[in-house]
Amino acid sequence: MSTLPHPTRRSILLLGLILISSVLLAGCGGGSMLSAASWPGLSIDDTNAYLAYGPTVYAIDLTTNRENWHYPSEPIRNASFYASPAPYEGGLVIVGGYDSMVYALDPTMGGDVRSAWIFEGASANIIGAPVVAGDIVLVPSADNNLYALDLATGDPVWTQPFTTEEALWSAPLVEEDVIYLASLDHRVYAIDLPTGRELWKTEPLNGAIADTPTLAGDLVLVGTFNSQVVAVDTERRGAIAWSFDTSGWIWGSPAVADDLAFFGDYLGLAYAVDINNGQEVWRVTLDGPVTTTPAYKDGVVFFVTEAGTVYAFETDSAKPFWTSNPVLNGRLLSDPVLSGDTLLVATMDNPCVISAVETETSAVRCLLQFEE
Amino acid sequence: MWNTLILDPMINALLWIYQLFGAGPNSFGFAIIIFTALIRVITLPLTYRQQKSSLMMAEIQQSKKWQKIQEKYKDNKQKQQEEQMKLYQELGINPLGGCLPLLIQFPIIIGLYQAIIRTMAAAPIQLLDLSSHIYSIIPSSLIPLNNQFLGYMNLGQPERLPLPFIPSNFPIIGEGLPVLAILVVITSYLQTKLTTPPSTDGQGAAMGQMMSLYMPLFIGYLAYSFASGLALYFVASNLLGIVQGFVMQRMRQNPGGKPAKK
Repeated sequence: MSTLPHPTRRSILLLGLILISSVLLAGCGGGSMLSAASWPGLSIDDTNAYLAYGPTVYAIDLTTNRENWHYPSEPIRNASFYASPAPYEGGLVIVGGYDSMVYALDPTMGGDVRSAWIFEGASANIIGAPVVAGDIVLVPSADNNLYALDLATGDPVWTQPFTTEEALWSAPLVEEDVIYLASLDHRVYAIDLPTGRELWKTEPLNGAIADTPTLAGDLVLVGTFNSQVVAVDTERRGAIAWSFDTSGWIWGSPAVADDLAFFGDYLGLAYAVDINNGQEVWRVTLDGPVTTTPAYKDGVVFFVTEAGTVYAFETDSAKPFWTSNPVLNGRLLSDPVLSGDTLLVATMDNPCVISAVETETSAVRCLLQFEE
Repeated sequence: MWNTLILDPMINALLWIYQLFGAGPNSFGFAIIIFTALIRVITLPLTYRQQKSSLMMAEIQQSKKWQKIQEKYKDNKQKQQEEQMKLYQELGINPLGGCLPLLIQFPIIIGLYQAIIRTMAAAPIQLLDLSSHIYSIIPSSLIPLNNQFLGYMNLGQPERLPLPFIPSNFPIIGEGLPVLAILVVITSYLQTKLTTPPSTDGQGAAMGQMMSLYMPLFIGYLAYSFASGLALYFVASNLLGIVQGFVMQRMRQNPGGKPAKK
C-alpha cells in the first residue's frame, strides 16, 4: 500500500475534514437546535396533572396515575410544547406552542382531544405559560407581546397587544384587574386587564426577569439575571422598596410565606429573606443550581436543583425537614407543583418525566414514565 | 478543556465586543463581523501557509516534469507516486504542508461557530447553557442580547427580507427573500474558486469540482435554515477569505512589484 500523499488523497482528506466539520457544526454547536428548547411545563387542577414537553401535552389522573388524554394524537409538524398548560374550570386547557400558536384544548368533546380554537397571531415562540383571568386568556410571547384573547373564541380582546422591549418568557400574574408582567427587557409592568393599558413600569432592574412576579401584600417580588431579588412597591407605581444581592443569577421567583421570601440562585444557594426589609434570615448551600420557584407547605419550603435533588427545609430555621433528600435521575429545571400531600416535579433526561414526592416522608413514585 | 481554552474565551470576547458597540440594535451583528475578522487575522499565518502550499502544489502539477512522470508511469501508479515524491523532495516541498495549518485552524473555526450560536441563545435551555460560560467581568445586564440587525433581521432566527409584493403562500420566497443565504452561496463559491488551485490530476480535479459546487450549496442550506447570525458569520468569513485569496494571488503573480515569471 502506498504512503505517498497523492493529490487525490489530499482532496479526500480535505473533503473528509469538511464533512467532519459539518457534522460538528450541526451537531455540537447547534445541539440545542436539535434537542429540547426548554424544560417541561407542569401544572395541575383538581383532577389532572398536565405536562407540556416536546411534541405532546399529557393529562395524567392524579388519583389513578393513568393518562387521561394526550394531545395531539398524531404529531403536528413543527409543533412542540414547553409552557405549563393552563387548565380552566370550564373544561378547556390552554396551551402555548413553541410554534407560536396558542391551542385551546377541549377534552370534553370525546374521542381524540381537539382544539376548540387556535390563535395564530403571535410571531414567536410561546415560552411562558398562558393565564386564564375571567373570560380572558393572557398569552406572553417571545415576540415581546402580551396577547389578551377571548376564552370562548380565541379572538383578541384588546385593540392591540401589550408590547415590551424584549421577549416575554414568563406567565403574567393577575390580581383583580391588574396584570403584573415581567420581561426580559429588565422591567416589571403593571397593566390594566380590561384595556391592556400600561399603568406603570419599573426602571430597568439591570437584569432580565425570566419568571412570574410574586405578590406579597403591596410588594411584587422578582428575581433577576443581575443576581438580585427586587421588591417593587405597587402602591408607589413600581418604585423599588428593597433589593437583595445573591451570588448567582435568579431564574425562578421567590415563594412567600410568613413574611419570608424563599428563592435559590444559579450558584446553588437557597435563601430566606424578610420581605419587610430585604434582610437575610438564612442561606443554605445546595448540591446544584436552582432555576425554579420553591414550593411552600405548612412551614416547610421545598427546593429542587439541577442536580436532581429535592430539598425540604423548615422555614424558620433552615433545618432539614427530611433525614435524607430524594435524588432523581435527571435535571430538575421546572417549577415544582404541590398537589395535596405530594410535590410533583418534572425531570429532564429521565424516562420518569413526572415524579411525585410525598411531602411528609420524601417517598418517591413515578407518575408518568416515557418509554426508553 | 475545550470550554476553558476555546469556547469560553470566544464567547466572552464576543460579548465584550458586543458591549463595545453599545449593546443595542446592530451591535451583535457588528460584533460577529469584527470577531470573525479578528479570528481571521489571528489565523492568517496558518491560512497563508496553507494557501501557499496549495498554490505551490498546483504549480508543480502543471510543470513539465510532473506531466512527464504522469505520462511515463501512467500504467504503474506505485512508481508514479514514488517519482512524484522524489520531485517534491528535489524542490524542497512538503506535500503535507497545507494540511497541518488546516488541522490547526479546525478547532478555531468550530469554536467560533459554537461561540456565535451559543451567544445568540434564543431559547431557555440555550440561555441556561450560556450563563455557565460567561465570565464574572461581563455584566449580566447585557443579557438577553439585542439580536436586531439592519432593521429587519433577528440574528437568532433565519433571515428573510420581506417582499410585500409577493403573496405569503408563494413557494420558498413567500416568507421573504433569504438574502444572506444567497450571499453565502455566492461568496462560498467565489472563495472556493479563488483559494483552490486547479488540479491537473483527473480524480483530484473531479473531487475539487464537486466540492466547489456542493459545499457552497450545503453551507447555503445551513444559512437558510439556521439562525441568521450564523449566515452573517459565513458571509463575513467568506468575504475576508476572498480578499485574502485575491491578495495572495496578486502577490504571487507580482512578487515584490516585479513582473511575474513565466
